[in-house]
Amino acid sequence: METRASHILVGSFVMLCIAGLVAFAIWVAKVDLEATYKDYDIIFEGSVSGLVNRGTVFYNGIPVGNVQDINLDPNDPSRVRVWIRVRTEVPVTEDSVARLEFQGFTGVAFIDLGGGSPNAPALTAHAGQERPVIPSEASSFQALFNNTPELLATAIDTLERVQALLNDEAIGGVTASIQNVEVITANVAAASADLPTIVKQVEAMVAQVTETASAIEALSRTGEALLDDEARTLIAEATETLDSANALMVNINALVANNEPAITQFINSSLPEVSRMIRDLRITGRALSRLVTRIERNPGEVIFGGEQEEYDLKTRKKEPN
Amino acid sequence: MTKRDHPSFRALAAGLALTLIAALAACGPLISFGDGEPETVYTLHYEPKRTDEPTGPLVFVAEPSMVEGLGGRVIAVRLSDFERTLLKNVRWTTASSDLIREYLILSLRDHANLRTLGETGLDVSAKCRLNTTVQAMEFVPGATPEADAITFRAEMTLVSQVTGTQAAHMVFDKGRRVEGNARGIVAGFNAAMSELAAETGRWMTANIGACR
Repeated sequence: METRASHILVGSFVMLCIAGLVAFAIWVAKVDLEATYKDYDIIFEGSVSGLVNRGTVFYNGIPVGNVQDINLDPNDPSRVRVWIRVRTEVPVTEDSVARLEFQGFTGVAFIDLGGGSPNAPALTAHAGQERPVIPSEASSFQALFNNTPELLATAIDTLERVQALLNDEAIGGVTASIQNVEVITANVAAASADLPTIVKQVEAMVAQVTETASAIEALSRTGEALLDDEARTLIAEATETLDSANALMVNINALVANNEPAITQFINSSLPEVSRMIRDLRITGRALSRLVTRIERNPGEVIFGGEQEEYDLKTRKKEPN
Repeated sequence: MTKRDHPSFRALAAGLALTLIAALAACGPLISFGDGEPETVYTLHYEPKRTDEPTGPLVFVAEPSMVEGLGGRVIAVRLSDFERTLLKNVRWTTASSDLIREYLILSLRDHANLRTLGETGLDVSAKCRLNTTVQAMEFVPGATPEADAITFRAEMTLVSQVTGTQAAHMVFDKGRRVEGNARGIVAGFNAAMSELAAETGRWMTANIGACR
């Protein structure tokens, strides 16, 4: 009698403990036994490092599911197919987009679903698809990580160029330029000491210019007055002079008209003759010059003749003349 | 006693007479009395062929320019190297430049139908002028009389007096062998001049467009 009651009590206690443990596990795991889920596939271009099975799936920041499996896309090994399971009530529509995000800098990745306008139709599996496929896009982190190598390469290249630019010669040039700037600055500083003198000189010059302008103005007034007084006389004299010149031209025209044949003959005949006469005079002048030179050199030879031998055709040799 | 009978006057007159005689004697080379051997005188002669007047353009033939003093009445003789002398007792009738000019004036009327003008045409306006430079006109004695020769080379330039530019230019060389006597030498010069005039006529005909 004593043994039987103990066994029932112990067995009941153990069963209660097990039930409590199960309830505690369910409570701890937050398992929603009544929840229903729907499976989707997400195709990512490139790496999904940091994402693991059982990873969390968020929708607009709310955990709505988890990652069931991660595999390579059988159609394209460069892509990754991620199988996720999310609650049925999550509005995954045709325009929903999945992004791979990271929690801080820990490297733990998760999937964040977004988009999904209320009026868009629910996403369904197309022909040939095992599950509906949510389109993916690169997150800002992913873009950062994807572009980091190129950024680093560009940065290294830039650094190399800067190093090449800042060689010893260039640095020497920059140093010289800085020294020149220092010299110029020193000169400007030294010149600034003379600034008051320069300002005074400029002031004096401006005063002189003002005085000169006044003098010119006075002169112009005097000139205007002079012109007013003398202009009529001057114009009258000029008109008279032009009339005289006109009369002279008329006389010359008449003279030319009356003597046109003689002038034409002079131009056509006498001028060429004069031209030839000048040419002949030049020849004569040269001959006279030679004669004078001979007279200066040996007057006796010119008057009495020289001692020149001539060629005799009979003897076929030179003989004295 | 008159002044003419005065001894001083007679002495002065005698001195003046002697001085005059001495001066006349000294002037012998200037007023040549000859050296005893007669000179033979030759010419360059052209016999005109046409009797009518030419109808071509007017061309003024200028006096030729004779290089190396060849323009006188003498005939130069070219000896070895650079030595020159004159042919003894052989002379042209007048300066050789005048002879050549007159020869061209007459011959070009026949050969090129040109109305040529010489010294007497100075006051006539002509569109062209023919300038001549005689570069060589010498007797060149050889080792034997059979090897004697003459040189005769002339440069012709046709000048347009309208534009003052040179219209044409040519050099004619007519040297040849001659007989080694005065007559043969002058005949050689005449033959050379005849050929030169004929070729000049053809050359002028070809270039007469500048004178129209």
